[in-house]
Amino acid sequence: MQVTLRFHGHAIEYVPGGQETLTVDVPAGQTLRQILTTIGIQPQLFAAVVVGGHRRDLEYVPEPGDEVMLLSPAAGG
Amino acid sequence: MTIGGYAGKILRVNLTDGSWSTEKTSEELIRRFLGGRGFCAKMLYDELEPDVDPLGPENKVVIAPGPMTGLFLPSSGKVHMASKSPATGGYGDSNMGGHFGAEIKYAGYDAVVIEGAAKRPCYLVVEDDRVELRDASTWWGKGSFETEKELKQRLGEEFQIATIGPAGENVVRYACITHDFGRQAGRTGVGCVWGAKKLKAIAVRGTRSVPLADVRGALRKGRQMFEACFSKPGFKEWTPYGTAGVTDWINEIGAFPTKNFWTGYFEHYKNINGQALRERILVTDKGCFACPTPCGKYSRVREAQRCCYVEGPEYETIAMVGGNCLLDRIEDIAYANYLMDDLGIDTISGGNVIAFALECFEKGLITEEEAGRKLAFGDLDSVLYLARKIAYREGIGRILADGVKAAAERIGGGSERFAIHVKGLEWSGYESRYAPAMMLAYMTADIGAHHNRAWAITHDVAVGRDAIEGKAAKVIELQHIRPLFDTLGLCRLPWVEIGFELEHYAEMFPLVTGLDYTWEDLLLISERIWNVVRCFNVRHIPGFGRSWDYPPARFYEEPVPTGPAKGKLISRETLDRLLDDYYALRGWDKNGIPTPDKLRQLGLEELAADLQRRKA
Ligand code: SF4
Repeated sequence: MQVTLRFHGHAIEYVPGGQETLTVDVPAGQTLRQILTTIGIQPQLFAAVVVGGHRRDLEYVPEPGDEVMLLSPAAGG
Repeated sequence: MTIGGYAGKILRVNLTDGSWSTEKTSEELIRRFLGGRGFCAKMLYDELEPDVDPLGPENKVVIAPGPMTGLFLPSSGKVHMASKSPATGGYGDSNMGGHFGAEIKYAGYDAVVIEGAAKRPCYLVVEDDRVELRDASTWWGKGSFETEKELKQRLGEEFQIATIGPAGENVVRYACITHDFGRQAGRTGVGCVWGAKKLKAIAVRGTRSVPLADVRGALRKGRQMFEACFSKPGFKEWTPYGTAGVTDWINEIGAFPTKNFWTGYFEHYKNINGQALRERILVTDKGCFACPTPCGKYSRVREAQRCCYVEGPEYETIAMVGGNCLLDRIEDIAYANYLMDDLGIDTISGGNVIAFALECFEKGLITEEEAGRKLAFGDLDSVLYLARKIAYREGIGRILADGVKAAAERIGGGSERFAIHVKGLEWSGYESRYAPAMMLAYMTADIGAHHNRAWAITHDVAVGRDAIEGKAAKVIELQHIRPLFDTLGLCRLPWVEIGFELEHYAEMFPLVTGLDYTWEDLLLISERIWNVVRCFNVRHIPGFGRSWDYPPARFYEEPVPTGPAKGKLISRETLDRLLDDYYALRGWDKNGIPTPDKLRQLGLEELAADLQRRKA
């Protein structure tokens, strides 16, 4: 199934190719943490997960066609 | 050629004799140092002799917006304030949001320089060309909030006001300046210097415009920048929580300062995070001039004896007054935040020093008699009590008011091991034993242990927290990008928070100024400024060098006892390796002193000659 990952904030530079959006084919039932690890992104890099306007976490299991927003940690003055 | 983005004049006010004068903003200064932080660093380097006492009349305060401050583009409300720091004895500065910087530009000034010292409390009123020093006896002794409110009532709402509280008056070495009822120039004790000069407040009003090189182009680009900000999908997610939103993440990676940096994880963090703030005390969001992504959270505490409105708490206060003092209720942190803002104490240094005192008490290094009462971590009354003692320099507060480094020297008993600072500036909100890049960022930050020069902790998480390779390079890269915002007069948070692209600023710069500088040119200026500050410290701090860049022993001798970073520590060898890498990449010698070649390469021949002279 396909899941779209949209990255936000300064941590984008650690997404392969520095891309804001990645659409990935993943087996059903995987958590976001597993998906990110598989594609070579350190899951802990993102401080918040939002799907369809709702806050989720890295244990969220995406549904087919989900658009998952991953937000960089933000502070640092 | 007239360079756009500048008001064209620098205002100098002498508090000793009450005189003032203006001078043309030098084109050379603009071309080499841009503004804001760049002006602060170069002017202080040139104008302060090494033996100047930070609290003496010869010290100066430079207040400088940047070329982009006050313009129609996102988050352009920043102003820089600097002086020789009473906290460190070296260069000190702090950046402040709100509306003060924009107003200085509209009044016609690229910088205001405060010189001398008044005999009696005074405040400065600047309204375009009208410059006046007035008697401030009425407000001396009053809190920041009351002073600002009353000055607004007296002068008019349109005036932008910055003021110190009792802590500044009593020369607490980490006293802050407050503006707009909650924006601070908090770090390095600039408020202490105001207090030593008997300057209670500055009120500014301006009605002028600022010339731009390409007005239409800058307007078009400004609109595009706002639209780009609003269309960033992270925009809606960031604003509700502001910086407090990062509290969870920092705990989850084990970097939350807890119990005077004893550990990096606070088990009650969900009770003091962004959500707790939003659900329990938030009144409204509050932003600075032209900010599309307001991080300010205006809150209200409604509890018996502790009713207040306060802007905050933002992440640093949550970390330093919350986790670090073990306060586990957002309401308690908000109230302590209110009190410290009103007293005029930087909540970062204040939280750090108070936590240090609590640990000293726990270890028996401060007795009940010396403290004047029992003290305990997690006890709001202890925190409030110490904040007041510090602000008024009473009892134990006399020792604590000089900062954690000086306090440890007085208290002894091995307390310097857990006096958490670098160069005398108290460490801010990131426990970095398991984050080498962040550790190096603190060690090498030019003003002392401050996080905002290089917020490198994401890099540690991304590339491996045990890895050392490449960390120094990343810290240097950030140390050039981040302070560049302070130089231009902008807030960097849209870039950090929602990924607003740096290219926008590079495109805007020539439209504003007419200078054909590329982004790389701007970064080179940032590196130049970094080296000026390092040379300032070499010049002003006897024996300054490598030994001033180490963290306290707690970080390399005590493994983190709990949480996700449990068992981690950074060895002394690793610290040495990080510094060796860093100095080599910077073109500094092994003692951390810029080499003459490096200075010449940066167009700083005069500094190279100066350092050579001093060596000879
Ligand atoms: S993000 Fe925060 S600090 Fe920056 S301009 Fe906006 S309100 Fe001010």
